[in-house]
Amino acid sequence: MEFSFSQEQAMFKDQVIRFAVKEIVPRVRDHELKGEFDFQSFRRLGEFGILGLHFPAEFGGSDADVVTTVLAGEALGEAGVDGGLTLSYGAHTFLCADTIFVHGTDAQRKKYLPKLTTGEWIGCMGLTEPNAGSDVASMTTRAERAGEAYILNGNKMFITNGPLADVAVIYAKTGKDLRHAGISAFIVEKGTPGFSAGKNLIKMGVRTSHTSELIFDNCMIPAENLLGVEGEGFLMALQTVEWDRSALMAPFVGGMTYVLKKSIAYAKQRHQFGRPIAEYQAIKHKLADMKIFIEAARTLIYRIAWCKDQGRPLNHLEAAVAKLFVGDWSLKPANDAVTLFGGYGYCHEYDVERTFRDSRLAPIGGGTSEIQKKIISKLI
Amino acid sequence: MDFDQSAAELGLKEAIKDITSGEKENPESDAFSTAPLNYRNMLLKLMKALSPTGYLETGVRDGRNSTALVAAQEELAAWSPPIFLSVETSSRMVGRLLALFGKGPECSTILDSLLNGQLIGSAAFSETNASFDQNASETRATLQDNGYIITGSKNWVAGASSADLVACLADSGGRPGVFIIRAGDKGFSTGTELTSNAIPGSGFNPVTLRDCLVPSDRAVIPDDKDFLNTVKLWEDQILTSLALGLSQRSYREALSHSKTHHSGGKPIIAYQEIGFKLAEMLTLLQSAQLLAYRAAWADETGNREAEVLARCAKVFCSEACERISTEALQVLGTKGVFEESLAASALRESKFLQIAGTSSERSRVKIGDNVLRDASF
Ligand SMILES: Cc1cc2nc3c(=O)[nH]c(=O)nc-3n(C[C@H](O)[C@H](O)[C@H](O)COP(=O)(O)OP(=O)(O)OC[C@H]3O[C@@H](n4cnc5c(N)ncnc54)[C@H](O)[C@@H]3O)c2cc1C
Repeated sequence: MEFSFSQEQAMFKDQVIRFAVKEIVPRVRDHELKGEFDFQSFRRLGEFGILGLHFPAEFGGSDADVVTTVLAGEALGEAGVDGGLTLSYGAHTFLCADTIFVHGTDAQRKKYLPKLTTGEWIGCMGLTEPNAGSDVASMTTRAERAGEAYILNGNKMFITNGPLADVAVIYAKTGKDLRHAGISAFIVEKGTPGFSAGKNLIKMGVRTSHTSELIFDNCMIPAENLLGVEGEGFLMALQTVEWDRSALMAPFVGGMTYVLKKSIAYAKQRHQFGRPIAEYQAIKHKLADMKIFIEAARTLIYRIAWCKDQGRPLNHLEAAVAKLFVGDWSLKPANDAVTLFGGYGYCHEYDVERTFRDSRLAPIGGGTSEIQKKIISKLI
Repeated sequence: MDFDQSAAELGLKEAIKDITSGEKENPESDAFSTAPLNYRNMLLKLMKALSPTGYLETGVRDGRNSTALVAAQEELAAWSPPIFLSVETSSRMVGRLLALFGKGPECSTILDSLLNGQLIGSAAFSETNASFDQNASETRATLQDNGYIITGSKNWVAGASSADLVACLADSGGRPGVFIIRAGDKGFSTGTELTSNAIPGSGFNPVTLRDCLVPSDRAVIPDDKDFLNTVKLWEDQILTSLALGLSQRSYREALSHSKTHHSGGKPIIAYQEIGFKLAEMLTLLQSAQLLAYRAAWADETGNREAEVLARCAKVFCSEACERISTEALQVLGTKGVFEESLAASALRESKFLQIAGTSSERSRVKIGDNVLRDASF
């Protein structure tokens, strides 16, 4: 085993940190307080090349490998970019754009990817429904074939970028009475009659990413908007799991490094009982637990990324292990940081309450911790 | 980056497998083998078998941990924790002390015998009233014409009664040194084996040194002031691998029970209460393994974070071992309560892991100090 990064990878991570600290982080607090999506920062991510990092140059990408892509996500978190913006980026790039890239036709790729990699368009992905979350196969959104078109009816729920998206990858049932094998994937553009988004849901964390319901009411889309072939939608959704367990998890882990840095600085300058609180054992223990979590977690997500770089099929067990660990084990250090800052930790301006709220999504989004345990227990 | 096991890792691990697969499983559970003389014979036999594989000398002369070493250690520790501890103390503790800090032909001769599996070494560092960090040793070494006179007492010395020589830490005029004492040396005696709830087999003994003469060529007094810290880190690395081996035992035992034990007409793994526990155990086990391997890699490659990663791995792996083992016992149900199980012994031993070497508390303080000093934060 060997755990080093190439020089280019390490340098790129540093570049991303510098870029984010200068151009994005100064805007985070304000947007987070207001719960506003930061269009400017999102576009800057596109200009810097992050939104399309792993796509081929012909689609506006940089042909980056998966480990580099993961490092970019980690760098954003480490710089102090909020979980909202990184979630929006993740849903846009990995759940929407990548699905079009992997399963779309040439025409679909040419049409959507250049706009998505620059951030000119925003993408989203709709799988979850009001009554079908963990049990994806019980979805009821239907796509009926009608000549050269499909007609979509149903609702999607908790969709990241839902209210903002110009283009959506939507999973719907085409096979009557079938479960997983009846799911197909479609591209739906904003403005298509019968397609609308609900109001931005007020959330506990990741507040700058906008989340909503998507409503399909006799929404007619051209048959050519089908991705791949009918019945393969579930497999497409599964393929995004690799990204979910690596690139989407990376900002959470990077965010914990940000929290550790802030905690160190605070512990050094905050004096109580005549000395910096950094000198107290209990404070050092908290810093140590953050460091231990970061080091254990990052190795798990690098493993998923590295395997994808080798072209290996997804190892579902390892993916679930990574998700479960990051999801469940990030909560304690995130909580510890709030305590370390005392009263200030409870206030917005020190950022740790935000990271605490943001980290609460990790055991829920993209498959809850219980579902990861269900997968692992089936595979062992 | 490469997450596949390298040829070196697989080679050393397979070599251990070959040797241990021919042996009885859980040898330490056998009353015969726990008698000191039998234990010693079994250990010598195993060390002789290990010697040609290169296991005993891996990382000894350069003092470095490596991923290949951890792969092999994990295998040996999962087979027999006490034997693992004895082998490691002999080679990776005493052997390294001699190889890196020993001077003169006598040290080299002893080292060769340890690495050939002809001699067993144990390490007498701890004392009832001394703390490694502050006053390392109240045992005194006084230089005389013909060598050093050692006086004092040591406690909790693993494998002291089955060893051929004991590396004893003592204070020599304000400098810590290690003195190699042979089992029959005058003034050296081991006390009655201590009753311990961890690591059966190797045995823990108090050791008394009464005007024990150690020739100068068996004295190891390093110039490096930080050498005790280095020795502690070696011990921590050994305990980290032991934690992996013990965790594996607990996990495997629970998994196997969950598939074969039925309740309500189905194997208990089919219930979420059990299946989910096993999922959490495996998650901890894999996270611990990867962290331990990365820490070893960092040491092997001279990474600037090597020390802090080793400490992170020690804390995480030993605490993961406790959680995995306690959950394993829960999965074993009444079987775990009424019969001695691997999980029960691993649970007891996980406490030993968190206390021995650098304790979890001290490790956390040191990790905290490290990140507070680290300019990159
Ligand atoms: C901020 C945010 C952003 C999101 N973005 C998107 C997005 O962009 N696209 C999208 O499609 N979805 C998105 N989701 C949805 C997310 O993936 C789901 O919330 C998640 O999969 C869980 O589904 P659910 O909320 O319906 O919970 P449920 O499935 O109803 O689960 C409720 C509880 O029951 C437990 N549970 C369920 N089944 C089992 C079982 N078999 N055994 C044991 N326990 C079980 C769960 O673990 C959970 O604790 C987002 C969610 C959030 C909060």
